[in-house]
Amino acid sequence: MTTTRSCIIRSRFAYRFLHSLRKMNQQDKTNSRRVKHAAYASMASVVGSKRAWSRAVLSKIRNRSLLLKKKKKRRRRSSDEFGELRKIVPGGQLMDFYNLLDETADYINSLTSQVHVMKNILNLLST
Amino acid sequence: MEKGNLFINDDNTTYEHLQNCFFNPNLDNNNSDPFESALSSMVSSPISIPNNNSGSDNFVLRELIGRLGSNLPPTQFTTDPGFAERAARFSCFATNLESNHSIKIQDVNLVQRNSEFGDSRENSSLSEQMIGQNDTNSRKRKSISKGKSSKIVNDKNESNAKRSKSEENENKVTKKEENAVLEENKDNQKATEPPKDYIHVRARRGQATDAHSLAERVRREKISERMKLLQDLVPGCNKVTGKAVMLDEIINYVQSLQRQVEFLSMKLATVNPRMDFNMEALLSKDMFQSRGSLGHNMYQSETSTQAFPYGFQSQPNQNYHKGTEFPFQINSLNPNLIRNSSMQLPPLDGFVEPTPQVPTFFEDDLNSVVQMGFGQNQNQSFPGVAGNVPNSQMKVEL
Repeated sequence: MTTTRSCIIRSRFAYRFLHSLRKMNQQDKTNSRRVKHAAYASMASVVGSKRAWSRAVLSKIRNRSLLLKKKKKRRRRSSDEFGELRKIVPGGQLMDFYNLLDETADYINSLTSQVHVMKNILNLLST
Repeated sequence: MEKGNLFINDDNTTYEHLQNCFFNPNLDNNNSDPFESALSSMVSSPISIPNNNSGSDNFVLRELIGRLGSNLPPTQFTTDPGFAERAARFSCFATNLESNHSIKIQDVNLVQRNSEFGDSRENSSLSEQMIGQNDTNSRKRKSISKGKSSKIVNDKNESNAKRSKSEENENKVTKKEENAVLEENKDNQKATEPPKDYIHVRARRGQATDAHSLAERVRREKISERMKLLQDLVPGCNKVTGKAVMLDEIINYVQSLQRQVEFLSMKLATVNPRMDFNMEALLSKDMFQSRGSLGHNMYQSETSTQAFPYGFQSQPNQNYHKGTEFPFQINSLNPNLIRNSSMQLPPLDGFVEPTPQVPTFFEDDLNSVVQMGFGQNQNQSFPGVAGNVPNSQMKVEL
């Protein structure tokens, strides 16, 4: 069951990512930062709003201009011993620890599939 | 007083069923003073009714506590001091009333029934609480702490015992007693509500049993379960013991993945300008290699486009390098697809268009369409294309 789900996620991610790459290429605005953003955005939109980390990524992408304009200093739980993990997982600042672990598991899953697909695309492109 | 009368009626009926020895004195008591009887019945009725129902002990306790809480709100006593006095004198907390005997006996019954469930500590405390009301809560708490300390010896319980001793001096006002008794009942309820966790955890570790530590323990168990899941997920994490080291491993792994994504995106950015040439082949490879069967079935289910499916099915195991043909087919198929998958389609965009429908199709009602498509096809015009049936179970390997 999980394999089929990850397959669906992978293929959808590949489609979206390639689509955005193509769009980028048409506009001649390709740089590594944009590609990275595209990868994260397509992964998050594939995963959907069920997961907190994808929600965080999507909101970050959507409100990028807003965030650039006013850099709010949020109250952060930096005293936590797991602050490192919170920083890494998107949206992890506002979670409790159990949910953080849950999200981390899902995030790792999607990151691995992301890396897999991107490697494949790179292989296909470079050959 | 309507409430009281109601409860008197309740009592009479239930007591008749019970046929206990305290029936008469209690009734006398009811007749002599309606006010007192209202109180006593209010107190005693919750016990008697569950006795008739003879439910589980949890139910009985909860019923008792709930009714006590609802019938004897503390504000009632605070607003009316005379009422409070009477309540103190005539409710179950006084020893010299007949109604109190009835409650005692009922409680003993309760305790006997409860003790069958092996939950003896709480019940003993309950019986203590109900019978020895004059001795106030401190004795009760002592009994609890005694029961604890007989099984468990740790600092927390000792502190509990100390606290109970200190509280022994404070409990002199009867109203306070009643409120405290209500609180005690609530505590008992809390203790009985998660019986499984409580017993399970206590039997294993012998730790504190209040609600906070119970919740904390449950949380810790959940976290450790998650950690195990993560341990399976992160490579090289199986040998590591200790939560901190494991968290470090997880963090390292996530960071390495993120760095990999960054690196790959850098590479892709350099490669991307060349991409236009490969785009179509890439998409056909990436998308349709994995979902070749889908393409078949979508086309097969359409009897109007008979020429195309044949062309595709003739090479089911190869990559779909005939991608240039796709847009036409898809365009002709679009209304049907929309109808089938009932999803909003993105705007048409040349070759890339067919792919968005494929995943949606794949997810929604692929199986039915697959079977339908095959059934139609093999019955109708393409008997020779049965070779693509194994293709439909082809695994996706991206």
